Amino acid sequence: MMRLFDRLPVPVRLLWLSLELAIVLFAIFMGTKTTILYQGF
Amino acid sequence: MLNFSIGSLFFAVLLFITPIVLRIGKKYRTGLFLIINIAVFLLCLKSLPALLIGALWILVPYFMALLLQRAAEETAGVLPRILRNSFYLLMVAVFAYLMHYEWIPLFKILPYSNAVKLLGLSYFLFREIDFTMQYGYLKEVKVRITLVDYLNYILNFYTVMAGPILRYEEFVTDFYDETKPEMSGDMILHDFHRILFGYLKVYVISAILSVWAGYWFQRLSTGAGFFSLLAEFILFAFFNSFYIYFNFSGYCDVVAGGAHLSGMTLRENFDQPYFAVSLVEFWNRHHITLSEWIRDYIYSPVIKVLISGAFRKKIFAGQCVALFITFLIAGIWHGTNFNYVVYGLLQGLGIVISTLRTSHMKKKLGKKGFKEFQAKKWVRILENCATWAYISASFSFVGYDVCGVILRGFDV
Repeated sequence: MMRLFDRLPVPVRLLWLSLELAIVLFAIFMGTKTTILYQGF
Repeated sequence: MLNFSIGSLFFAVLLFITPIVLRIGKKYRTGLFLIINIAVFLLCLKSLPALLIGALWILVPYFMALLLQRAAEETAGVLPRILRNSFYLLMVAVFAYLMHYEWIPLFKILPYSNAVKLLGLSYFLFREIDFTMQYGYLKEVKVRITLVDYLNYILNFYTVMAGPILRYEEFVTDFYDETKPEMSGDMILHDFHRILFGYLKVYVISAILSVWAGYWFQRLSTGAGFFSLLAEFILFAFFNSFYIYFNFSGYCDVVAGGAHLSGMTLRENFDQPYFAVSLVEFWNRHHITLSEWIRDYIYSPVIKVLISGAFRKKIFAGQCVALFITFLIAGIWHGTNFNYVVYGLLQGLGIVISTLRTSHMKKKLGKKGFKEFQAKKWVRILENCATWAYISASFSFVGYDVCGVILRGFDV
């Protein structure tokens, strides 16, 4: 995934990042709850 | 106390502000990074006593390293060793008290408040042990040692939550490395992608897997009938194992991307662990920095004690016992309830069985024959499935009260 991303032209990479950001923000605003495991408490 | 996790707004702001601050104020980078780290540490404290405990927990090892080194240089005999061992025993005892392990009866009697818990307590311990153990070597090879660098190393907000566990030498060498290439547009895009991909893993993929794992665990807790329970357990273990991978590797991607934007390199913590063909290989590909830490600071001293004592003439048996003890301790470290003890026992047992099997096969087929046997595609697939199944079954004790379900099943 990372290697494929690095090989793409800049406009495509920007589009990819926008899509990723949109999905993440959508998930967070929809109230997705997940705890981080291995949290060092 | 401030909510400090990669999902908090505070962390997201820090993730993008820190690289700007550290790159603009390059001359004062060390000091600026320390200010940010101390601010995060203070904001995450739960109470005033926690501040005192935290300050002691962080500062005492720094000065003890100096003291232990001086004692080793100036005093002959066993005194420096006694002093060193007492210090580590005390650290482990305080750590166990602050973690408040539920299954240790003594902790039920002792007074305790959750307000004294510190963010990143166990990761502090890992780094402190590394610093104090390596202090002599660090001085010898002339690695930069200052209180400011030590504090940045211990409090590094990128790794304070859940690693990766850096070594003092690699942290300082990397932090002051001036041969690094200047940040390019491609690198910024790469890091942004790594951060967002990490968030995607945590908040989309692992969140969905967590719901499914929770659903099958709920069915398992209330179900009946052997085959039905078995099927529910397999489905629960399947989703839970992938949940753990995506959750933790996603977190590592976020902090690695963020740290790289600030000019720091964090070591990779994952290398496709579910493609491992043995438990030993799995632990070399999953939470790699923890595996290396426990190898250096638990396995090595334990094996040294064992083969110089009771296992003097049985080195292989000594290795197996040391592996079992190491993985049991690592399992117990993972959490405070009894499920983690079972998890540690299963990991220890699995590693010992895996080592015994490899040794037996090497004896039977010869080294070359065993290599050829392992290279066969069907063998690799079978070994990979067996490893993954065992890991998934043992991981089911992480985060879920599987012991409680088993005990309820037997009406205990």
